[in-house]
Amino acid sequence: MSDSIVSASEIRAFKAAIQSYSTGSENILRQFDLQIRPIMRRFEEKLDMLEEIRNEKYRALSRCQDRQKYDDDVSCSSQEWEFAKASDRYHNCLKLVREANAAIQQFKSKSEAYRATTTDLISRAKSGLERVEDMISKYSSQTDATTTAIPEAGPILSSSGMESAIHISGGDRIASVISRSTGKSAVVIDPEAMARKLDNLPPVSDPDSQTMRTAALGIIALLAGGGLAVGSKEMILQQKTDEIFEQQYGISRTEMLLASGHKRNEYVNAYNNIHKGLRKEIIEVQKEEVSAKIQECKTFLKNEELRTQQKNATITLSSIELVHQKEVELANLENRLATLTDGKKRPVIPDGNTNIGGLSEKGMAFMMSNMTTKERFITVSNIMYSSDVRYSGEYKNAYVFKKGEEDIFFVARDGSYVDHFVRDTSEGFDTNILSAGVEPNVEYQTSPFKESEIEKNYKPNVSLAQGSYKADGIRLTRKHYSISSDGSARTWGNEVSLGLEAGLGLETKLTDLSVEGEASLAKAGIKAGYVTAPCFMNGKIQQFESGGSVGSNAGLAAGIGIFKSKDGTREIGVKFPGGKIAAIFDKHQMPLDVFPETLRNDIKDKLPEKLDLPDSYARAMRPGERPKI
Amino acid sequence: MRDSINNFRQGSGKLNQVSDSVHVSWRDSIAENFYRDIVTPMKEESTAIAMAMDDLASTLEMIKEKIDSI
Repeated sequence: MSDSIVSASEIRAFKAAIQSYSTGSENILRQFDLQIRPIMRRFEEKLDMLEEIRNEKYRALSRCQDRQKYDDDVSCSSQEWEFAKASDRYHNCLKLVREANAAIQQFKSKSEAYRATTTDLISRAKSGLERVEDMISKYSSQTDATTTAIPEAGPILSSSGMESAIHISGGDRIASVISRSTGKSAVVIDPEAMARKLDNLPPVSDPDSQTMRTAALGIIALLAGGGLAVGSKEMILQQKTDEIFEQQYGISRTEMLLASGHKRNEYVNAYNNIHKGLRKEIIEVQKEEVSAKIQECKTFLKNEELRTQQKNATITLSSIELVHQKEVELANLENRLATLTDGKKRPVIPDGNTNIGGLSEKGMAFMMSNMTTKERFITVSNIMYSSDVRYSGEYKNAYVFKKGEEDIFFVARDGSYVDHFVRDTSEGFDTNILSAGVEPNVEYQTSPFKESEIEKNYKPNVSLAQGSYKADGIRLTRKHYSISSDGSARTWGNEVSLGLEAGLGLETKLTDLSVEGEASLAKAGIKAGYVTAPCFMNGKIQQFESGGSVGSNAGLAAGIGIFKSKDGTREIGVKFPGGKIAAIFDKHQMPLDVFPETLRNDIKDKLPEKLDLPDSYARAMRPGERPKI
Repeated sequence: MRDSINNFRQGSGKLNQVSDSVHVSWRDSIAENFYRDIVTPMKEESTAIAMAMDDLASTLEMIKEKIDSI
């Protein structure tokens, strides 16, 4: 509706405000009256006191005079002194009294003036409001004829005028009325007046391009600010169109729509043109922005290509990953530009980090071939764990890393495998041995771990776990540790995951074989031994499920291990939880060409070609999926 | 006394608030005379009146002090 409307609620609000003002000022005047009375009483007491002092002064004077009357030689100093004191007191008192009296008089005149002013103002306000109400009532009765088009409004106007809730415009063009009986509102217009207004408007012309460009930029900025609900874009677009239209033609959209006459269509078309033009302008601005970003990406990639072709150019893992990101960004930007041009939606290309360690293929390849074991581990650990993995030192044939205070990693110097231990502070295990981060008495083996060798070299100050578990002195919680019946196979929880995620190759200790599992292995001529997970072999990265512990008691879908041959020197098979083996031949799980030629040949005849695995078992990870830790 | 004055100030502020919220509506309307002759002066005078009240309250306090000092 038009802005020029007086509503009944506004009149009520104003009345209430005036009343409140009036009541407030009356209260204050009353307060003043109440407060001045005791002050006046006190003042009179002081006046009495003053009178007493005056009398005392004269008594003193009289005594002094009497004394002198009877004895000329007698000094009247004491009487004089008394008189002087009394006199001083009197004069001081008199002065103060006069000041107080003046203040009282000043107060009285001010309060009278205030009272007069507010009374007058309130009286004028009240009578003024009554006049407004009368005028509104008269206007309402005059517009009766125009309400016939709105029969549902009901008895809008009563004879007393103000009994209806009303809105009235000031321009005599548009009014909206609310029926008191039905509560419905309706718009009453004077179409002739509106038509006249349109006739007087300037001819239709398009807004200039700068206006449109500014409005488009404003809309884009609002949308980029975020936090807007779905559908807000259209709302904002309409608001901006309304603004431009009103600036251009001096009439609001509502007024235009309510108008009649031959020019109405002309203005409706003008409005629609602005709307369309604004939408188009937004797209143009967006296209320009995207094109600029595309150019930036291309320039970056070109410069980087030139740089790396230089002799002695520095190529780092970061620079490789950055190039990869830019390539993906460029592809997505080009898609976006195409979508802005033809309106067809295109999927967003993921950033391509499909490999373990959160690196692109190129990045991972670079890392494996150019970085030391230590650098690799720190890099990957930082990527995967993204927190406080720190190099703790070297110990014998292993690098030692710590993550937080609980996790300790041993990485063999030749990078052939990783071991991961977690301090166990529960159930009486003595974990002091781990406090330094390295275990001084353990010879870290690069060959299969034999428990007997551990015991030979180290006297762990730990208790043995209950049940079928044993502690190796460098131990994890019971849950994560299991050992095969012949003592030659054991497993650590999370180890497989870590190794896989580290992409370093991992020696996984075969785990928790069931009787059935062992029997299967034996049938295949394989002794349960130490296995290696082929997370990275021959330059290829393999992706596969790394769920929880291998063979943990929780029975989680776990990582994969490869069996070694009887003599323990070669990897020949793969084991899944439950004892099933030979996933190596299941091409859905692990392509055969991952493994060295000799391995393939060795196991080909001994293990079944196909493995009937339930779907829940080690499936290949989808691109972009990260292994669970 | 000060509380009453503060209450009045708040009421006066509300008057101003209502005046400001309606004035756009009323200015162009048939109530424009009312706005010009009543609302606007009321807004202006309410500020002056509030100051006058403060002045009166200060005068009262001064009187009390003077009388007490006698």
